[in-house]
Amino acid sequence: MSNPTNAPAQPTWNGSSEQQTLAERAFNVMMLQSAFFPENVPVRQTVANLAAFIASQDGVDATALEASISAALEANSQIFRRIDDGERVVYATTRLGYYTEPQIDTRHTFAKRLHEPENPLPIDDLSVVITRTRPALTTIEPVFISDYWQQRSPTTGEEGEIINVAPISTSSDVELDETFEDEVEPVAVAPVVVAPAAVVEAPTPVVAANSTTLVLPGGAALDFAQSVEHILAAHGSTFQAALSAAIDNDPLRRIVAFGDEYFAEENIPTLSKGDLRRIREYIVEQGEPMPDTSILSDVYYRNPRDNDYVTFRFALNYRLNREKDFEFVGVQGARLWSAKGLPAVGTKRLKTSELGQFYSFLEETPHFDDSLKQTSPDDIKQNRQLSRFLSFFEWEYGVLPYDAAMKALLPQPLLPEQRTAILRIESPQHYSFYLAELRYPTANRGGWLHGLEDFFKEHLVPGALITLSATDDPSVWTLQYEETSGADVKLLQQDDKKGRYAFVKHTFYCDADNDLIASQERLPRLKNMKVLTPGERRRLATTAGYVLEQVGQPRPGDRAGFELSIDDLFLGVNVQRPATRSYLLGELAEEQDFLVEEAAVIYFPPPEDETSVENKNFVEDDE
Amino acid sequence: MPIDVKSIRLGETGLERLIQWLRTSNQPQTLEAITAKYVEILRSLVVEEEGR
Repeated sequence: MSNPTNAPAQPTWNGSSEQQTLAERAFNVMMLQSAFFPENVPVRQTVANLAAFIASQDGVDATALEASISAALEANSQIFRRIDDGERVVYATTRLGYYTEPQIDTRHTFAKRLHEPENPLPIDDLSVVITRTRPALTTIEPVFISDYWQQRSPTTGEEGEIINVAPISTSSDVELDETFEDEVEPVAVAPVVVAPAAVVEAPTPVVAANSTTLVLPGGAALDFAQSVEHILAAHGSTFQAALSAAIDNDPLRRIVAFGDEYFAEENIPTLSKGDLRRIREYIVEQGEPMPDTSILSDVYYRNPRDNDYVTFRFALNYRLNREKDFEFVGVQGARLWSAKGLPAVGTKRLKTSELGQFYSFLEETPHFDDSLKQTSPDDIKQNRQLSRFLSFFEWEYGVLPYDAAMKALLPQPLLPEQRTAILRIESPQHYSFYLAELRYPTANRGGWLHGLEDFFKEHLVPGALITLSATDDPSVWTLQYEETSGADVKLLQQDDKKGRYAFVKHTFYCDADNDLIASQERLPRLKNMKVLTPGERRRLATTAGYVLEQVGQPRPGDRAGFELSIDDLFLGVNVQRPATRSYLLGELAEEQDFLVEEAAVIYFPPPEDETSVENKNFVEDDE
Repeated sequence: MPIDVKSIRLGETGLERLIQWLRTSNQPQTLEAITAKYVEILRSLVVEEEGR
């Protein structure tokens, strides 16, 4: 037998030499058994076990050996403690060479070190220790008072005495528990939050009302005895408006909407921060706004055949719409999502605020929008396409106005607060596509579609006839033009470095209106015309005055001025900024410095000092 | 006891039942669908109670 590795004590043995030998052998066996014990932890063993072990070593009878071992251990009672538990007798000792009661040291525990560190962090940093997440903001939730309590709300008497508790209506969804009713103390009248829904009260009903007739705000009578279909056919819009307003004004937001779909808020799964991060990374990686269906399949591996696919799709759209890092840029039937980090779509040469101001006349003075002169909105909707000539400004910046004709063609915003929609414009003639951003008009700014600069510059000229057509996918549109044999022209170009216009040789292969092509042949005096600053271009009369001064014919006489045909002025103004013909003439007719004749416009520049003041104002505007 | 038709507030009365229906339907519904259900709920509140 080998000795234990962490050597125990070597006690002194008592008794006869045979007892000393047996006691030592028993001790060694127990030290072997306690090789991994702490030194003060007792190791226990029965005499029978010790006898069996030693007898097997010596080849003798174990039973005869038990008495000798007991005597040897008793002779060394300072080393072995005899423990009799009533059923059996065991001897115990420790690696110290004597018996000691086991003691649990609680002076230095892990739990104590964790909660009572020697060097605790200052209280300012306690949040770092407790949690790394941002604590939830405390928000004051409005108190919702259900129909039940609103209808049951008691009326207080003069001294606050509750004098009336009306029995609840017997609606089937509110089962009244008698026990509950007894226990509930009538509360003081709670302030009833009444949504601005249509409150129907009929003090003087127009129709002789019976117990099932409701008089609507407009005075119409609704009889609930009629079928649901009949009620909906007659008063569906009233109900829709009331219901929509109630849902919007519900402080608890129990029903939520995305687009034209409604769902119970508590049934909508949530998206974690990790989910949002993965979705954003996916969209940025794709490099363009992605439809919700692609996000579901590529990020969540969801299949349209999944039972909860429709629900989860709604949840995805609803939750993303509430996140500031995502923007909904889709349309009805194609729910596209853009994310923070995606490159901007559209021209960067003009700010969106400047473009919005250029097209503000479409919203502020819609009677100057002549886009529906040649066709009607119904025709556009029926044919699902629209043809128009490009102006120089549209060609130069790749922009199309969101005028009445385009509103009839392009999709309306799906969400009330939606600002933009991304459309994919495909060119079947060149097997290419372009992402275009549709900017919806706001209160005082017009809307436009931009992002077509490369296509226009590469394949078209100002005056080209283009056709925008819908496809089966509501977010995909085709842009086509009539191809022709090549024609050379010295075309007006905008030199951004010099800030002036110049004519450059150009060959084009598209059908175009020659009157609208800003060519040297058409209007040579456009050469070297200055590119006005956005501030100068903002005011139509200023732009027109500048164009007349540059391009018009000097008009001698008592009052010197400049004269230009309406067609030429329209072309020249649309080099600098967008304007319809009716807007141009309508605005100039109200200006005292302009005289609008049948076929020409005459401009009488103000005296020099006024001009300098006006120019100064432009500089200030730009700043 | 029948519900008094004059106490009906469009967009409020019976809204709890509409929400309950929306929960159990377990999928988003159009405004037309929930309007039809809402009319049905109001009608049941008035007519069925009237019939009892």
